[in-house]
Amino acid sequence: MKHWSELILLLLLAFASQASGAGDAVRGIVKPVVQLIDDVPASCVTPSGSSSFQPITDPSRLLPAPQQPVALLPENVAAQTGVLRVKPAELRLPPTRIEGADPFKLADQNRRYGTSTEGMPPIQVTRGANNEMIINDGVTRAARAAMIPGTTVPVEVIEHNPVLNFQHLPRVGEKVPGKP
Amino acid sequence: MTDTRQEILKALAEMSDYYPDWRFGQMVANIAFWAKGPTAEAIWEVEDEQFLETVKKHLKKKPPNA
Repeated sequence: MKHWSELILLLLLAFASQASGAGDAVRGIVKPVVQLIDDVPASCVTPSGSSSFQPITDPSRLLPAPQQPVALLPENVAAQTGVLRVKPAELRLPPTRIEGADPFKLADQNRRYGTSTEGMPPIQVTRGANNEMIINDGVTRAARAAMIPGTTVPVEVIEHNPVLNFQHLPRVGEKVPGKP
Repeated sequence: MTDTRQEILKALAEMSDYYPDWRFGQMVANIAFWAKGPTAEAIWEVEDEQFLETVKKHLKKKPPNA
């Protein structure tokens, strides 16, 4: 009789923990890991553009719980959208601005802001294959910052598509004034 | 005007709320690049349906009033 009551008690406890959302702890781990699958390396993308990656839905296949939220680990910063800091010279120019910044706008920004990047609004970019970034807005800001040695700028990743390849496009650093 | 075109214009109005500082041509170019890839020809070649699908997909990802 005692065994039966223990068994019923255990069943009730299991049901109560499920109902009270104790599973959230597991879901909290599952979510970020699945999110990372979105960050598909270029080598995993087939020529047709489809990905061989499938989100992991079976919790037993997931990695052990991290000590801190996955999203905050430095190596996963590249998987994020949001505001990051990058070297402006490394950003790719859009095909419609392949020669770099408008020299008149650049001269105007240089005159107004000099070598300061303080308070600069984030440059909006799209992240593509190999985590390369192409500028959607802010070519002039990026060009001005690229002329300041060692500086980084805030960028906001507004779109992410690992299938897009930007390698044929010049970088901001290749088109700043003074470069051949 | 086709229904697709009307939908595109509505979607572009919504995009303008998200990106008020973008020039109109810059917005069209950016969406075309997302749809067709980053080439100068993308703006010319992108089909209306593809353009609409791309802009809708982008708007879906944005939080309200972002």
